[in-house]
Amino acid sequence: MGVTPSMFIQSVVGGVFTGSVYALVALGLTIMFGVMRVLNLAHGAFVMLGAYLVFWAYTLFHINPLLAIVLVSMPVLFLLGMIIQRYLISRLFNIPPEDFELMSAIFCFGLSSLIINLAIYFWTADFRSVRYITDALTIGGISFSKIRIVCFLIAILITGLVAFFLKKANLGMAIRATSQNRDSAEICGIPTRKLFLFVFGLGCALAAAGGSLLAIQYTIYPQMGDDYTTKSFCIIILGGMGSYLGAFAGGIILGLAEALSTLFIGAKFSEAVAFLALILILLIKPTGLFGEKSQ
Amino acid sequence: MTSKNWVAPASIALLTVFMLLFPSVASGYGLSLCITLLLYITMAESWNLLSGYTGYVSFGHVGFFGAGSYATAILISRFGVNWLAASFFGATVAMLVALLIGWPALRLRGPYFAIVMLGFAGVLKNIVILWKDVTQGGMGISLPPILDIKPIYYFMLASALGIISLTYVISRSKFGLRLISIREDEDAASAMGINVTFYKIVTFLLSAFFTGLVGGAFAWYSSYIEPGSTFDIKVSIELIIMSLLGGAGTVLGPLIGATIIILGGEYFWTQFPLMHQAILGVLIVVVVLFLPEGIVGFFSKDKGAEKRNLLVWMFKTK
Repeated sequence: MGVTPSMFIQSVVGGVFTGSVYALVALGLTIMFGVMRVLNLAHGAFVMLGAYLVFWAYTLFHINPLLAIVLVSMPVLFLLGMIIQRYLISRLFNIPPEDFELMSAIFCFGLSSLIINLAIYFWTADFRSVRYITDALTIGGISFSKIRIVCFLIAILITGLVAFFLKKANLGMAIRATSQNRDSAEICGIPTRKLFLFVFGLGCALAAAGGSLLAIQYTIYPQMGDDYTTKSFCIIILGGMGSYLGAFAGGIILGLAEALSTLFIGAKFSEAVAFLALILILLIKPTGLFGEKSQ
Repeated sequence: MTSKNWVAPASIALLTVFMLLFPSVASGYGLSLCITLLLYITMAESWNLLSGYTGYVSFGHVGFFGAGSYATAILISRFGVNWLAASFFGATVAMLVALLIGWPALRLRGPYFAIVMLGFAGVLKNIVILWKDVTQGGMGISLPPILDIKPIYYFMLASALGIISLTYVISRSKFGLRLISIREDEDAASAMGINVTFYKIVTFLLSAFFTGLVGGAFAWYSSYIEPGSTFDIKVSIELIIMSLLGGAGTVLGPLIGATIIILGGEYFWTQFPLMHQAILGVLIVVVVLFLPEGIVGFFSKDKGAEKRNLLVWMFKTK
């Protein structure tokens, strides 16, 4: 086989780079689930929308793709998320709490099918890509693509900002409080329904940020999101549903596991890694790595 | 539905007589449409037996369909086994796959289970693509073309009747009552001394068996299978929407839902071929929002959840 040390290092670094995007996407999902208990199976569709927004902003209006993340894709998806929450998801709150999670999953499954197929209809199923900074950086005989380094830094920056916001800002604390106990939060005067608007918007915006970074690094196509829905769920279950640290760690772990399994076993098997990791962790510790005792 | 105990068996009996005589009057097109319809009725009823009654929503039922299809196709193409026997072998393989995935997955509560099943179908597809020695990977497997589709029609009919009667019997037995108690409150059911794991696994296996069975017959019927269409996530979506539309957790619901979607779709999809899945998505959204009890639930009298009733919702003022 011959796995050289430089190949190994490259693989590990690549895995962390991929993992940082996973972490970003999964963070959005885990916030949504933690606060609203919505199993957003349409998360991948929002990732895809974010990716396409950057692509179109760059192709049609020649907006710098890195700027487009902050100027186009995140704000648009934030708004879209709020609209979806306000006019669709909020109607689900009539469903008794014990059925809510599953009904929300089925609902979002339908929503995802709708969004993805509208995308196929209007944008065709072609593979597209944003060509931006294509050269590489060589450090100590190992070369890294510059754009992937930039994307990694952006992913870490956004994740860090959101983490800081959740930890320190008033709104962030309100989000964490609601996620811990919705009833108590309401008693303390947190307007949870209004908070849900923000939370769903934030979750969508984070998915969009992840999608945008994917659009800059790889090719995009309407069904790209399907993988990310499953992977994000694997990650947040792996890390513990609703745990922010878990989502981050889970993302990096999955990125590493995929990269290393590609290196040692073969590229196509890496797709099953997330799932196998999920099954394993659920057998050993059903609440996830950083999960609380029970829900 | 206690006062209407005779409605379900009577209408099914009438329908059965008609269905038995159908091939002698139907055109080739009508017969093949009916095979598709029966295929989906069987699968939707199987999905419903698991998800409608126990509340464990499976997003990966197409995995059992695919497992049955592939096992059958491999047995026919490599060993020249009779398709009927091969289909039962396919169903057994689907059951074994279900046992493998169900053993860890059924220990998980609702949402976790749903997600694991979603991943399961995807992983199974990857395995089929990768395991080229056995499955011929992305090339797919070709089977000899068939001349007479009547036997397949009767096979599908028998499978559909089998799962419907099974669901009927289960829904009126203590077994069914225990399944519903798992759906309503698993902890309480367990505390009452019900071996919840046993009931969940048995239901899961039954559900997988019938899905794999028609999957096998469908492989023989279509003469060619490949991973993309055999493990198409669209099928899982369709099963869910059929059962939800008709009414999940009822015997007739999936039958009604599948009939509406397949027959209505037959006309509709040809008009908008590209929008097929998008329209299915809209249907799911609309049904969950406005008709969460499905058509059967909407018309059945003895239900308390009036606030979820479509008409009440439409005319209620805030």
